[in-house]
Formats: sequence, C-alpha cells, structure tokens
Amino acid sequence: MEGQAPYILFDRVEVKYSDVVAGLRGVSLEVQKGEFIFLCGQTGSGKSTLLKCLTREVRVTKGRLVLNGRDVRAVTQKEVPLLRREMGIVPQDFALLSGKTVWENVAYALRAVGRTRREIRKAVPEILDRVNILHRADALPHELSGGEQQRVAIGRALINNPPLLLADEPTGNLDPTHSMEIMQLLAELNLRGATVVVATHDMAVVEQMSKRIVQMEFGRIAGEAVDA
Amino acid sequence: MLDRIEFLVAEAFTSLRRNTWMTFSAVTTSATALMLLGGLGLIYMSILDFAQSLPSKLEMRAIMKMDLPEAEVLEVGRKIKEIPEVAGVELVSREEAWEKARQSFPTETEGMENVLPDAYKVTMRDVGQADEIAAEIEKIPGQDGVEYFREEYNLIDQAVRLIRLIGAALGGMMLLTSGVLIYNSIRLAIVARSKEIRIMQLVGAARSTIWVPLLIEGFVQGALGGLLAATVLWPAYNTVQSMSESLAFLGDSKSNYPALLAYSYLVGIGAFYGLLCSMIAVRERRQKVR
Repeated sequence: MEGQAPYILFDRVEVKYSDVVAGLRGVSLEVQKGEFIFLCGQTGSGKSTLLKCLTREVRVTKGRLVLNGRDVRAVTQKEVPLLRREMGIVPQDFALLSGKTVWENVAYALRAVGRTRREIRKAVPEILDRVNILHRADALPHELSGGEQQRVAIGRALINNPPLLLADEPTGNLDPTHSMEIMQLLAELNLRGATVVVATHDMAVVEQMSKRIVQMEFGRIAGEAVDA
Repeated sequence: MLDRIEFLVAEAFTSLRRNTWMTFSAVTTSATALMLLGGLGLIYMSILDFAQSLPSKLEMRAIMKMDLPEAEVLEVGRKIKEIPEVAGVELVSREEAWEKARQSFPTETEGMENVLPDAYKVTMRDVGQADEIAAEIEKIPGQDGVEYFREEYNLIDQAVRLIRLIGAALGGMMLLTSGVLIYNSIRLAIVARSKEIRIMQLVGAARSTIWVPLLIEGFVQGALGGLLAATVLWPAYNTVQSMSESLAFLGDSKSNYPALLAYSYLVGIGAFYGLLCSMIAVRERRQKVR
C-alpha cells in the first residue's frame, strides 16, 4: 500500500471550539485504505473530535483534511449527507429507536436514505446477517443485550455499504466479553475491505486486537504503535 | 417517490400523535384566532353588504324653494340627474306630498293649507358619496336644502371601523399566540424526535428528509385550526343571522353562511401560518444541528 495516496489524510489539522478551547492542535495522520486503527486516549484527548472532523459534525479550523482524495473542508453543508453516506458511523449509545424492532430500526434508516420498500425487504436480512443478529430481527432493543444492540447499530451503519467505518467508543457501554465480540465483528468487516477507525479508551480490548494504535493527548498525537 | 412522500408524511403524523396535547393546544388556539378573525370578517362583510345595499334604502330629499316655477323645478331635477354618483331622481310634487301627509296625519292637517314644497327623491350609487352628492345639490340654484340620514350613515361607517380595529387587535394577538404555540410544538417535536433526527444524520439522510416532516406538522396544525374555526363559525353565523331577523335594521341583509369561502380562506390561512411558524422553528434549530 505504500506509495499510494492515503485514504484519510490529516495534515496539521487544528480545531478550535473557542479562543481558549481547542479540540485538535496540529494533528497529522495518514490512514491507508483497508486499514484498522485505534485512536486511544483519555476523555478530552481529541479522539471524538478527530472522528467528527471526518463526519463534518465539527469544522476544521486550520490544516488539511482529505478523505479518499476529497477535501473535507470544501464539502458544503448541502453535500454533508452525501459525505456521510460514504461512511458508517457507530455511536457509543447505539441510538436505537426503542419502539421499533431490530428489523424496523435498520429499515427506518434505509427509508431515511430514500430506499424503496422492495430494496429494504432485500437489504435488511442481508445486513442483519452480516452482523450476526438476524435471529433477533423481531426483538425490541430492550430485549437485547448491550452487545446485540451494538451489533444492530453497526448493521445500521452498513446500510450504505460504506468503505469506511467510524466507531466512537463502540464498547463504552459493554462488558469485556461483549466488547471483544464487537471488536471481532469490526475486524471481520475490515477483512472484507472496510477501513475502520475506532476511538476508544478501552485498552484491554485494544491490546487483544493487534492493530495500529494512535495515542492521543490534549488534542495532539502523542505516539503510534502496532500492537503485535 | 411515493415511498419517500409516504415516509415524510408518516413521520409528521407519528410526531403529531406523540405530542397529542401540544398539538391540541396549537390547533385550538389557532382555531380561536382564526375564528375571531373569520367571525369578525363575516360581520365586517355583512355590514359592508348592508352598507352597499343602502343606496336603495337611503334616499336623499332635495327640497325646492316654495312656489318655485315648474320649469325651474324641472331644471333643478335635470341638474341633479347630471351628478355622476346619482342613480335616480324622482319628483315628489308638493300636492303628492301633502296628500300623503294628510293620510298619515289627518287630524293635524285638517283645515290647513298645503305648506310643503316640491322635492326630489334622490337615490345614490354609493352611500359613501352621500356628503359629496348633498354638497353638489346644494350648489344648484332653486333648491332649499338636502335632507338625508347623515347620522345613520356615520354610524355604519363607525361600526365598520370599530370592527376592523377589534379584528386587527384581538385577532392579531390570538394569531401571535397561536404562532408561538405552533412554534413551541415544533420545537418540542424536534426534541422528541432527536433520536430519529440523529439517526438520519448518522446515515446521511437528506436535509429535506429530516426537516420536511416538521414543516408538514406545522402545516397540518394550522390547517386543522382553520378547519375547526370554519366549522364552529357555521352554526355561530346561523345563530346570529336568526337573531338578527328580529331586527328590522338588518332584516333585508340575511344571507347564508359562505361555507366554501370560509373553509378555503380559513384553512388556507391556517395552513400557511402553521407552515411559516414551523419554518421559523426549524430554521433556528437547523442552525444549531448539523
């Protein structure tokens, strides 16, 4: 992969929330296509801000951010939904609709992006199967374990078949067993070709995954390692 | 396309159901405001109709000088006819007038000689021009003054102005209140739907998909308010009409409830207003939520 333009490029990226509060302070980072990386660090170290720069929830104040050859800073507000369809976003809190079944939760997201009923009927079982939750398709979120709920959230992130998966503390609400299940699932998706960026402070899980680790502190990259 | 429209409408109605009480307050307040505006509008229209029908009822009398020669009386009549706002002129000779007076007041007129002058009954095209017509007639030589119901006309004019003022003040206040309620209900809907909105943002739903259901919600609330107002006004209007039958003053101006007009105006205004309020609420929220 060396010699290729990076899939994600942060070039001295700064994010300022105000004159005195900075989210990122000159972050430079390259992520190749198909890579799996962990962003680690304490709360407030800038992990989430870095992900939010990619999803355009936060605007870069200074520096260059390129995603798949596209300057993210130049993306207009109108184009943000299209940018987000190129990535799957997995939140920490699952963000599932409590009154809808697993099937309906995924179908709802598909409807929101304009898929027809026929397309939805075909896509939902495929997606649920990919994240090994098809057998609970009729269950409501409160009937699922934390790990299962996160699987549904990951499934929903896959509805646009995105080449990039961004997960912000995906194991934050899970016990160690379910945390490993989720990481294994993300690793499987990575093996199928998706670039995966995971922000976490769960070092116990990270150490078992043998992936690239980017350590963040105070809005800067403090170090990098490949955990072998 | 149909799937998309169905999704947007379903989202709006889910939200309306979810915030039943807020929806109820917004709908009833806008209905009250529209009822007030619509009701006063109907009264206003009735008075205007009545005022427009007045020329046939309200006749002006141009009195001739006593013992004016017949040729001059006819000349005055010709000149009155030339005034553009005059619809018709009819000569009432002093003999005719005296005969009528004798029939009406036989005791009072017994043994008296005719004391009445020749006069013209003048009907107007527009009652609003009464003062101007009177002034024109008074310029004609041979006449001895004009009599008409100046006070009645002024009363109607004042009533129209008062209703317009009350309508603007009360209706405006109620409309503002209902606007705030619709605005608040949309803001509440945004809070209640925050998870759905977040999910849509996460998966890259178009901005219209996220915000249009809220606009539909405001539109529906306003339209329902208009529908309710027009429906409640119907029996209210009929009741007022039947009460006014006993008043000779309004006896001839009885008319049916203009249902089509009331429904289309009130529902249209309500829907437009609801849409406007929800647009303001959504616009404010959109600037915060990306």
